[in-house]
Amino acid sequence: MKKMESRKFKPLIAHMLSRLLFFLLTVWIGLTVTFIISRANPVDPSVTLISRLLSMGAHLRPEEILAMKQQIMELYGLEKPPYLQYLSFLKGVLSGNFGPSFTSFPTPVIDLIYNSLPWTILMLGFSTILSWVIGNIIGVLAAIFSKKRISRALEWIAMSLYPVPYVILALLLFLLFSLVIPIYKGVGGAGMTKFSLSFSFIAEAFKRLSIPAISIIMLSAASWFLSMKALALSVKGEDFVNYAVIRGLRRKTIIKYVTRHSLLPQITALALSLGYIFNGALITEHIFSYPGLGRLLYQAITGADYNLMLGILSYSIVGVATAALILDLIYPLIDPRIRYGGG
Amino acid sequence: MDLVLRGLNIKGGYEMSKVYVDAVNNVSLELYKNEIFGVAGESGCGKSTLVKILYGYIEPPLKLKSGSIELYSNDEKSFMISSLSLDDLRKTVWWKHISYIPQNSMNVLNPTTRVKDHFAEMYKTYTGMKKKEAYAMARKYVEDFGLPSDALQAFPHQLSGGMRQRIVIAVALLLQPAMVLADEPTSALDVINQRAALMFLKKAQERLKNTIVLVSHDMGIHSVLTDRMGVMYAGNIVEVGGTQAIFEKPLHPYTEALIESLPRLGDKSQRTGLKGQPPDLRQPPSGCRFHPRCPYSKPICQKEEPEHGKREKDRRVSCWIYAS
Repeated sequence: MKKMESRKFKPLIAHMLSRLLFFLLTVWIGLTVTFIISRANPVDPSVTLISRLLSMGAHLRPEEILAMKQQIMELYGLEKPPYLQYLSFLKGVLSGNFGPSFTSFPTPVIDLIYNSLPWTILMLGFSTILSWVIGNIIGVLAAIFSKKRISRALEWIAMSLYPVPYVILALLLFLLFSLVIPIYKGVGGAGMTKFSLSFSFIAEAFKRLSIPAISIIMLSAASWFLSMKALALSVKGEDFVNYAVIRGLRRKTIIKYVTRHSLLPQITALALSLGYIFNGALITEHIFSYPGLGRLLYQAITGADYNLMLGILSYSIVGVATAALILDLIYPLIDPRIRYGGG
Repeated sequence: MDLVLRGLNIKGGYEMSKVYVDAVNNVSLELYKNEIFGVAGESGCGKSTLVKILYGYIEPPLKLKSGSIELYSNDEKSFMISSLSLDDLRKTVWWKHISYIPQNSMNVLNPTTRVKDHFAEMYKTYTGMKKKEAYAMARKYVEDFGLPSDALQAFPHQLSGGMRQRIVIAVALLLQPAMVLADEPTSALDVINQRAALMFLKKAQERLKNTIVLVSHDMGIHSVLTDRMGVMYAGNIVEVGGTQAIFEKPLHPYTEALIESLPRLGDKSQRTGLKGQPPDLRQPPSGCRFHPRCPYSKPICQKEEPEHGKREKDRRVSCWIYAS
């Protein structure tokens, strides 16, 4: 027993090191795959850009076109052999330099991302955390009072809400709040791209943000609720909870037991969905013309803006992997079975 | 001998929307101070249900149809377990006067709290002790019990199965209850750990001179450990008596078959089991529930339930063979 106590931190350090290694490996593989996919694309970005210029009415001679193509290729670093492109791409990720955007030339991709990121973090961070809290609290209560009628009613509501696509609910809410009850006169976040921390800005942002956020909160709270209820019900049936009941522990203690154990997997899921913030909420943001990463990604896809796409994708890869890493690092604090190995 | 618990005509079972599983039927028993009483019988015969009912832990779908259970505590108070609500049981009876060692007991500790918290929880719940004091008490208690006090700092998964088992036994005896119900406490352990855990329990019992009800399907455990035993079949206690007497001369045909089926050293003859299957308790057989499998079955066995009649000293049997 003495020996075990003195060695107790070894598994912890091993755990952290292995997680860190996995993090680096995951990011590297993700970035590499992204790079390969982008280079495997048959569309030549320089041709796309020139044809766009031509279609806008520019008159160019063939030699000029060739020279321009050469210039663009150099600008984008596409004239170099693939392995050098790959290395400069990795370097770009590390330094945050993804080159200029194609569609909003010559603004650097990184500036576009930094403009949209706070908007997305604001909306998705807020709605993800709020829906997680709501869903889990109601879920645990519904599981503990599973025999009450209200618990079953809530489950029915969540079940019927859960499969509704975000698009449909967002559109419905949009119609409801702009036509039926016209309180949403806005154009989402458009026209207020400057992000600041003044009170008037926050009030304005809240107004514009609330309705797209509601559509996300309603649906994800329903899914958090369903998974929490299922988890808590199964924990409630476990031997150690039954033993706590037999031992005559207070109801409060038993609720604590059940909550703590069913929260463990929910924390995992929360961290992962916070990581997905970097993908943005593509459709919701588009419908409410909200200036977040989702809308930016939509623009990048429709405008064949490869640099921008690569930039957003790299961010989301690093975002998801970092969320998983943070989770792995804090997990030993909440589950002793990992802290002390075995189990 | 002093009576500790008296159960009279206990009838209970599992009531679901359409079916009723008649798990415990007309069981009466008396348990005395300072004895280990064994409950034997095959899986599904109602052993665990009986123990739950004795403990008063009756939650749907389990239902107590009729009968009474009265517990006499060490300080000579009596508690009508069968008529107290779960809340009252929690407040006045459980753990102070009657405690429980559950099935699969090596896996019942909370995996995310330390062993010491399990003791502290009990002190806090039943004596209103503060946390710090409770930890100190737990340490002293565990040391007095002959367990390593280091185990208190550990999380359950860091301990061996046998140690966790002993911790659960120690938790059950924490407040020195008059009676401990042990429901197959060692069925998940290998024989060596099983022996160690059972000896641990027996030693504690000898010291505390309380009553232990030991449920097990393992006749070997009963022959070594229990003073008296009851044999259950399909929800009935068919025979009660001193363990030694039952092994020497089983009276009920089911007990006889049960003991006949045990292997003996040096005897190489094939064991013949009972023919047939235990009955479906949703539709138990009429009359004596053992009659479809009984080699001595008589016409009356199909019609009427035999009385749980007294035979010899301390011996009761439910069988028509002995009806005069």
